[in-house]
Amino acid sequence: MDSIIDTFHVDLKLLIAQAVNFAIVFVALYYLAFKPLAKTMQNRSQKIADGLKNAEVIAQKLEQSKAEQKTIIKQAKQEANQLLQQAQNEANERKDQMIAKAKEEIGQIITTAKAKIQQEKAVILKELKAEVADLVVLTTAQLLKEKIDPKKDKDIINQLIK
Amino acid sequence: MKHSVKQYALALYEVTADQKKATIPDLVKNFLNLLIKNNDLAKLNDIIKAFTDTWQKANGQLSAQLITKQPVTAEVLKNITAYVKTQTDCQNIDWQQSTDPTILGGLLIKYRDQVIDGTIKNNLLRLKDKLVN
Repeated sequence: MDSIIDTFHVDLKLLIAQAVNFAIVFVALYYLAFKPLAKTMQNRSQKIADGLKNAEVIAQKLEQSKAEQKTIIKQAKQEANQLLQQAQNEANERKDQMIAKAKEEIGQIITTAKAKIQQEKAVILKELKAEVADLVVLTTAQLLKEKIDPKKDKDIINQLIK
Repeated sequence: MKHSVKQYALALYEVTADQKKATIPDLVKNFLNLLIKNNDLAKLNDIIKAFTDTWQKANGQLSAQLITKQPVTAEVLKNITAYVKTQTDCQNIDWQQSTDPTILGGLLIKYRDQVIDGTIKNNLLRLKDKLVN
C-alpha cells in the first residue's frame, strides 16, 4: 500500500483534503444547485402535466361547447323559423284585414257616391221638371191669352158653375 | 174675462136684432162702452165684419166679390148668382165686380172666408204643381 502511494506520489493529506473539499462542494452543489434544479424540474413537469390535463379538459369542453353551440344554433334556427312563420302569418292576417277594410271603405265610398249621384240627379230632375213646367205654363198661358175670347170665357164660366 | 170677436159680434146681433131703429144707437153706444171697459176696442173692425156676416146670414144676405177677365154679361151674372145661392142658402147677394186680365179666364168668387177659384191662371198653377211633383 505504501508502495502504491509512493509510486503514484499520493499525498494522503491532500487526498483527504480534496475529499473533504469534494464533499463540501458536493453538499453545496446538492443544496444550492441540484435540489432547486430538481424542484424546478419537478414543478415544470407538474406544470406540463397540468397543462396537458387542462388541454384535454379544454378540448373536451370545446367539444362540449361545439355540441352545445350546434344545439343552440339549431334551436335558434327553429325559433327563427317559428318567428318567421308567425311573422308571415301575422303579415298575411294583417294583409287580409287591410284588404277587407279597404274593400269595405271602397264599398262605403261607392255607396256614398251613388247616393250623392242619386241626390244630384233628383235635384237636377226637379229643376228640369220645374223649368219644363214653367215653360209649359208660360206657353199655355200665352196661347190661352190669345185664344180665349169673351165667348169662350163665358162658356168656361158656365161650365164651372154648372 | 176675455171675449172672442165672434162672441162680441153674436152678442151685438142678439141685442140689436129685434129692436126698433130708434133704440139701436143707444145699444151700439153701450156696446162701444163695453169694448172700452174690456180694453177690446182694437177688435172693433173684426167685430163689425163678423157682425155683418152674422147679420147677412140671419137675413139671407151675402156680400161677395167676383173677379173675371172681362166684365160679365147680365145673363152670366145671373147664372153665377144662382150657383152661389145653392152654395150658401142666401137669397140676396150683393156683388162687388172687378176685372183682372192676368187670370186669363174663368172666375174668382170670394165671400165670407170662402174662395172659389175657377180661373185659368189657377188651373195652370195646379198643372205646374202636378208637373213638378
